[in-house]
Amino acid sequence: MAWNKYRVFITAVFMLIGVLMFSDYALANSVIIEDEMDVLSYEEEETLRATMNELSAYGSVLFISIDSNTNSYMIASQRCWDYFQNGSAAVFCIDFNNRDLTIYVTGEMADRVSKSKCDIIADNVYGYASQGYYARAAIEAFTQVRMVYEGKNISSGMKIVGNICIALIIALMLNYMLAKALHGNKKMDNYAMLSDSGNNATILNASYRINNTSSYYSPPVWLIILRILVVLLGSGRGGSGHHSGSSGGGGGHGGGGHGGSHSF
Amino acid sequence: MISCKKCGGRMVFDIVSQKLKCLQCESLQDVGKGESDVKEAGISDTFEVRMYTCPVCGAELATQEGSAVSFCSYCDAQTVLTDRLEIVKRPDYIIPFKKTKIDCQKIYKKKLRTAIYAPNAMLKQGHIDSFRGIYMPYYVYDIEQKGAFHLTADEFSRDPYDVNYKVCTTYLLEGDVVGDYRSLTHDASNNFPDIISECIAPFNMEESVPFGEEYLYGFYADIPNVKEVYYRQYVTELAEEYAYYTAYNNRIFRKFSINETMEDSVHKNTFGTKVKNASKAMLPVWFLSYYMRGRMSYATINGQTGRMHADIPVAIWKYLLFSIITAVPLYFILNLFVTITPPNLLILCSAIQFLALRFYHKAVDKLQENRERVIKGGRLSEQKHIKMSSVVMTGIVCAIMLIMFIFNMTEDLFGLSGIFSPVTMSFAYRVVSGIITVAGIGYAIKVAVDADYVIEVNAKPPTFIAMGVFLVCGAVSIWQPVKDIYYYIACYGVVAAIVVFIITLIWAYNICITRPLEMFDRTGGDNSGLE
Repeated sequence: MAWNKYRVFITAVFMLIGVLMFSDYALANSVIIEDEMDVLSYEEEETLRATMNELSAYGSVLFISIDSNTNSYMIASQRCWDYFQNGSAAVFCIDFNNRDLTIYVTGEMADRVSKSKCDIIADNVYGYASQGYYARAAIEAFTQVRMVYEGKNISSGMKIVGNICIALIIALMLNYMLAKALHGNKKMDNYAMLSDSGNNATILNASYRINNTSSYYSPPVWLIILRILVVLLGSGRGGSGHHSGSSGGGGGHGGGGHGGSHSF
Repeated sequence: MISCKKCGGRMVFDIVSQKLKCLQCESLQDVGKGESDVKEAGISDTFEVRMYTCPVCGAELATQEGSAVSFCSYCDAQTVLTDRLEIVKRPDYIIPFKKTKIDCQKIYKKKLRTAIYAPNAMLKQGHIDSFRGIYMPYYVYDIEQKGAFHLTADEFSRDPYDVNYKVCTTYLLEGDVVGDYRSLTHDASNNFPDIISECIAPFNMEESVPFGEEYLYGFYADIPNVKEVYYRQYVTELAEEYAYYTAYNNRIFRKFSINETMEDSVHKNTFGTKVKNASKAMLPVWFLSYYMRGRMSYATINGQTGRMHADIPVAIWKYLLFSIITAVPLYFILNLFVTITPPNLLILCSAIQFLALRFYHKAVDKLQENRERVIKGGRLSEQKHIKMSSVVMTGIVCAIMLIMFIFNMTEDLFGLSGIFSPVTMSFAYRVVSGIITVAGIGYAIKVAVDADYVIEVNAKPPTFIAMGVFLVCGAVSIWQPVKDIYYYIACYGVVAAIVVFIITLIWAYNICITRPLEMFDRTGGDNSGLE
């Protein structure tokens, strides 16, 4: 009887543990394709899945195509959190409403694939998306994420062109300042010149007296800042209910990942 | 001309021994009589020289030499100069050369080592060997100062009873100044630019000796052609400036922040300054000229102290070459830390162009001011017109660039990724881009209106180019094209605009530091005090 009484309880506990383990196992290093806009054909989806499976050795992989009125970066980070929380994951999100795509990484993937690399990969693949080769863009993006994760080099045209431009500008201005400094002539300060020549002047009967005193309104900076803060905090307290309502919905993203975006 | 007593050869003044030296047998002889002996001997206060006139530029140089002079020191023309005998007034003093030609060549070479953008022709040994020793005519003034002065100073403090109020206390500073100035000099030749003579100053007049013609042997001399009274105001203001700074540094007044600038004070207080005495002297200068496209630049070295002024033009091709060479290591350094997306690069380039335009404006103003000083002579007061609006705008642009650099380009380095959401950043960059574009076009229009010719260089065209580039950058920022090529075209347009700015500035600089050959036709330069 006692065994029968507790049997249900023990079974329920084991089932709960199983569900939790299964849930973790199901989401660990999983490959998910959410093609809401149906831009992938069957063959493309299979090819993409194969590429994503290669990357899944290092973390979960997610492909999203969507038509939303928010930014693709926000969607990518939100979905990543929903599925994987802080786990190692890579997300490719393409938003047809805003016409931009995002490569988002989190967890261990984010440690190895920096934000600048995400920007470079997005810059490398946006051209395919512009021409309508969405699957190709995603395949190329995940391939490059894997290459970066494995420590290999990828094409960085954006970085090269940008840094050449900045280097040229800095070099031009630096050399002009150098030319001015090196080619200029310094005139001796008149005071120093006359002093060195043995000239001298002496001040006698030096005195000072108060000529005038006036007062004017000029509060100190710290007081002005304090007054502004008092006004702001005073008005902020009144709207806190509204603010807390919105923060609950937005708290999902921002799980420590980062990504790069590009329009197409 | 004096002949050697031993062999009859030609004698010249030897700088090392400070005696006359025979060029043939190298025997030495003491320099002859000074002024006091001359007066005792009853000899007149004039002496005879051979005056050479350059047929190319009209410059005149005197010498005791009998042989023909083969090139002009002022215009470097390689021609035989016409000569005549002339009687000139004997100066009171002379400082013999202390620095030899080899010393001055070493000084000049040291300067050339650092002037890496100098034209190659200036580096040739043949050019450096062309240094010529010239005695320049100077006026020497003794000044005394005895008078009262009044200055004001404000002191600010917080009202102890109400922190919202500040109290301003104005003090009246008073005192008497007693000054004694010996041997304030100014060159007496309008062939010798004042800027150069001020740069190689001062001379130590304590080493001067009574004038003797023998000191001129082996050297040339310029003849005074400006009246002495013309420079009295200059030396008087110099003494008043010294008195002002002496009062400024006085231990009783040091704690105050004096309201009057030096110029205000000189206008307000005369300090009882008077010129006591003025005499004439010949002071030693090593002179080297360089001819460049119809204009002359000079290198001059104080023959007593070795202080140098050298107008060294910038060779534009060298500047561009060094810029490209410098860009290579900079590129590799940037590659380690910086990754910038095309839209952000566009904003950064727009901001840099704004700063470059402001820099160009300031540089053109400075060149025009310096050039006016050369033409008018005398000293220009240093009036600083600081306009708050342009300072504030420049500060805003610098702050924008700093924020962009910190939060965008160094995310990987400092781990600041994710602090601002991309939506926020995107909106902020659009706003920033708009501000810079509007401000940039407005400022370019202002500079185009203000800029004028700097001598022969029209300073306006680069501003029109800047306007065009700002318009392109603004259009691309608003349009937000998908393809990166449009952003890169705009960014490299900024690079081209900066190249145009800087080449125009270098061109103007090269013209400002040089002088036209026609300066000797007596219609330009310091000609208002001609005798």
